[in-house]
Amino acid sequence: MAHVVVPENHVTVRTDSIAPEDAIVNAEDIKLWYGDFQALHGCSIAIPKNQVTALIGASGCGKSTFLKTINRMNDLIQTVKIEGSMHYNGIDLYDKAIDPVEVRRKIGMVFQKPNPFPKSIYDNVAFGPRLNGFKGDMDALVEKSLRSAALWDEVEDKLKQSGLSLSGGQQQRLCIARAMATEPEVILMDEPTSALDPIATDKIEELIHEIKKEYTVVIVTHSMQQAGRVSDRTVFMHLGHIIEEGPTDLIFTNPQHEMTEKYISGRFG
Amino acid sequence: MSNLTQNTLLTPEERKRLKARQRTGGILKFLTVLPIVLAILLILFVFLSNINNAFVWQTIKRTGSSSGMLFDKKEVTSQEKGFELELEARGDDPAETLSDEENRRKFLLRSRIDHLPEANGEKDKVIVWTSRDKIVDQRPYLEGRRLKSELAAEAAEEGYDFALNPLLDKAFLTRNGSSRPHLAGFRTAIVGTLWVIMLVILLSTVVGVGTAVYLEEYAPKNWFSAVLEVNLRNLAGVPSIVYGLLGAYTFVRSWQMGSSILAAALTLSLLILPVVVIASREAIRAVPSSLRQASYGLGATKLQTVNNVVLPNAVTGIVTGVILAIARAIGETAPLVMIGGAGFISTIPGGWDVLFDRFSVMPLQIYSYFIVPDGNFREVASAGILILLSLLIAIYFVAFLIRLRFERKW
Amino acid sequence: MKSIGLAKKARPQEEIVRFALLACALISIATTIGVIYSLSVETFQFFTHPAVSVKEFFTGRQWSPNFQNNQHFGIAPLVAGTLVITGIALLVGIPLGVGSAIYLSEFASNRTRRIIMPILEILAGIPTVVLGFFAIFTLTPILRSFIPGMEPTNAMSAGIIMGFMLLPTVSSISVDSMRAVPQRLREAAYGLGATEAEVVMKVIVPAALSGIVAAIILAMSRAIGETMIVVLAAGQKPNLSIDPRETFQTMTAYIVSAATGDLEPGTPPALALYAVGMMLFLITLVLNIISHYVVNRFSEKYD
Repeated sequence: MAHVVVPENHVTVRTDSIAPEDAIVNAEDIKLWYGDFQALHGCSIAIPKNQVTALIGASGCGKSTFLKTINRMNDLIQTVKIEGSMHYNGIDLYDKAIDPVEVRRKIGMVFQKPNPFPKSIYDNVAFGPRLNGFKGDMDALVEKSLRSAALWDEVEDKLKQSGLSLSGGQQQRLCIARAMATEPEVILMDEPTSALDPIATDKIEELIHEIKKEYTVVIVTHSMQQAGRVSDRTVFMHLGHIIEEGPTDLIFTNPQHEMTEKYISGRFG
Repeated sequence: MSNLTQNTLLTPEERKRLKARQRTGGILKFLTVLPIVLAILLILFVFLSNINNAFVWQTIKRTGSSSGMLFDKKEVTSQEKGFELELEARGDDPAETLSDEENRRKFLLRSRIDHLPEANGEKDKVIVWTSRDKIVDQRPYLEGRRLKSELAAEAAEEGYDFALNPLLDKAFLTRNGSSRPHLAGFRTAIVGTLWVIMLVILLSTVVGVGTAVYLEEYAPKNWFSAVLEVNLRNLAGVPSIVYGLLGAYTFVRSWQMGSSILAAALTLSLLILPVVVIASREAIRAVPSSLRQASYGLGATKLQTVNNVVLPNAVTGIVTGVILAIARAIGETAPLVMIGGAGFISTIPGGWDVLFDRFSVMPLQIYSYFIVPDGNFREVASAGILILLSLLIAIYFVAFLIRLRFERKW
Repeated sequence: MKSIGLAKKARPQEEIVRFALLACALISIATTIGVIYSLSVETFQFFTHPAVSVKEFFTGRQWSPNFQNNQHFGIAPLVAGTLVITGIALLVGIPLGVGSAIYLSEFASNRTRRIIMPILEILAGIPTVVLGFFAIFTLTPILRSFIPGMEPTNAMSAGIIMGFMLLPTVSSISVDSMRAVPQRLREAAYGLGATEAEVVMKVIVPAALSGIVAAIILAMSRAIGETMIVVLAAGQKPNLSIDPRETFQTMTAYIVSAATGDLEPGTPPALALYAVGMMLFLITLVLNIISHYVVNRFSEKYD
């Protein structure tokens, strides 16, 4: 894989184009360095509202890094330098006046490994709203979020128990509920099922289908099958470049770029 | 949908709230820096206050040739020489007085030489033999300087002499202990500390590293090893004064060692043993097991593996741990008070039975300055404290360098 | 298999070394036995002495071992002194220790941390006799200049300095437990739109709480057992009071005063020294055990 070089001036192959009014997130020419190492080489995509966009590619291709530029999680790493622009509903997320905290408030995130806080299930879900000074009915919000994450029936009578007492799959759904409780518009998922067994994975995938009615989902996955199952659009990345992007069925059935074709057919990666 | 004029994602209330949250965060961050600043200030303050106390200004009122005088620095080269000069000034024959045991004792009792720091140093060293409360005023450095500038005008006419008389000078290091503040030296304490600490290093390293090797490399996983672990952990929390009681009862009385260097060394060794063991175990545990397996794979025995693989790779951690533990032992006072370490001893430990000599060590000597009612010892104590602290800082610095130099590569 | 047997015979030094190492390990057990034995013998003699009553020791309100006509062995005043000073020390030491730990673990850059850690080590390494001198000759005059009724030796000055002495202990154990909180909990909180300070106060500190509590209990044990600071700065007068401006004698200070006071061996005041030592040993032992229990029982298990 590593020996396949991507020319610096590679132009992303796009099977279709997204009308600006349909896009909720617009990344333009995002470049990112970890110290001296350049991890992203000018990535541009538009992410349409209420759809699931999957980022695929071999490990180390920069898909997680790119995902984290969307909610400015990379700002937490001291050596990171970012160029380019990232617009959310027309607002430049990297504008000086924008606090990364508000970005993450609007663009939620679910991580590789389930990471519930060592607090009760209730407190896990209520964590975000409490930070934001939520004034409404907290019980109702917690229930709504847990229902949206298809977890309510399983935890209804043990809301006071520690989030860590749940199984791995339940923990991940708790994390999704927790992310939804702050009522973001976009939810980023960084390989959300990589630590889970197949049955738990199924449930999460089902859940992703459900929640795209209300949220825009961007999911990083190392499994092409998963991308095929859950996503509407797929973005294929390699060595920090976006090689090709387009509707998932097109990418999988009729990839335009040679590298995409090779990756899809399993000849590398 | 898009709103290009807006530069926030939040509603005005949310925005306001976020500003407040960030402000609270800033205050919290400041509050967590504060303890560090205070800690650094305390360390500086401890140093400076002791420097201030140890470097004193003396104000000597000239009231006529018979009641006080300054000697030139070249004249007073030793304590004995000071006595001679004093006797000469009184019109006595120094040789006669000092050679006769009885006369000498009487003279020393009356002598006011105790305002003399060993006068082989700077010009300002002073001999005064008038009543010190009237004529000589000794002030900490800063206060003394102020007084000096206040009295500057009078000094010329009325006759004041000012002398910067650091109690901490070369002679302080080489004089023996004394019950007179300005003749008190730190040599006995320094030698005592050296003897005790040498023994402590020997005992605690052998037993401590031995225990660590046993626990990490040999001990089977059974109840006995568990008892060993719990026991060590609890010993680490036993107050040092309780070790002093153990030493006093067992070593000093039952084993009849008396208040000796050996009893002190044994007590301090037991005191720092848990620290040495814990540090050594950490260092041994940090040696990757792949190295051990490689050694066993080559057919080495356990002993060979420990000797050739484990210990060489753990030595930096062990040495650093031992150094830090020793630094603690050097500063310990309470347990040595318990076993009867002396404040003032006039003989330097040494000779074939040195282990059973009575002793003083630096912190004990400092504490002894506190017990005597003479207020002038406060400044002497500061001089001692400066030496003790300098030694400890040097030790910490060495440990720091070792850690910096040999940081683990795997 | 035969070769193994041969190898064993050919290397008696292996067995000798194993035995020698075991002997080293046993010295720590012997130390514990020695401590308990040496404390018990005289403590037993103390409590069986006709001039002493066990009941008075624990419930009496007067500690006057050296008054021939009015000899009382009620430990309460010594305990009061110990508790007042320990209380002040914790009041000072906990915020300082936990605060600095939060800074070192969460806010400081690696570089800053590498500079500050050795400085705290130096603070931990200042002999307590030096701190005691500082308390009585530098801090006390300052406090006396603006607090009316402050005695020349007092609990407050000793307690404040002892609080600084506890700072490195509380700080280093708290730092360890905060650093042990998995990175992914920090990410989770940031991902939910928490500010840096909120991540620390709402996630890291609660998750590390068991370690912090253990650190505080350990610090308390150290404060109770601390000797030189109180001997120098808090005074030598048994005092059943809670006023920090007053002179107090702690348990440890009594032990020192009795040991340096030329007491006749075997008399109740001399034996009392060991009884007080036994109390001190038991109290600190219990605190250490609790501290470890807290760590093991309440720390979150992350996979």
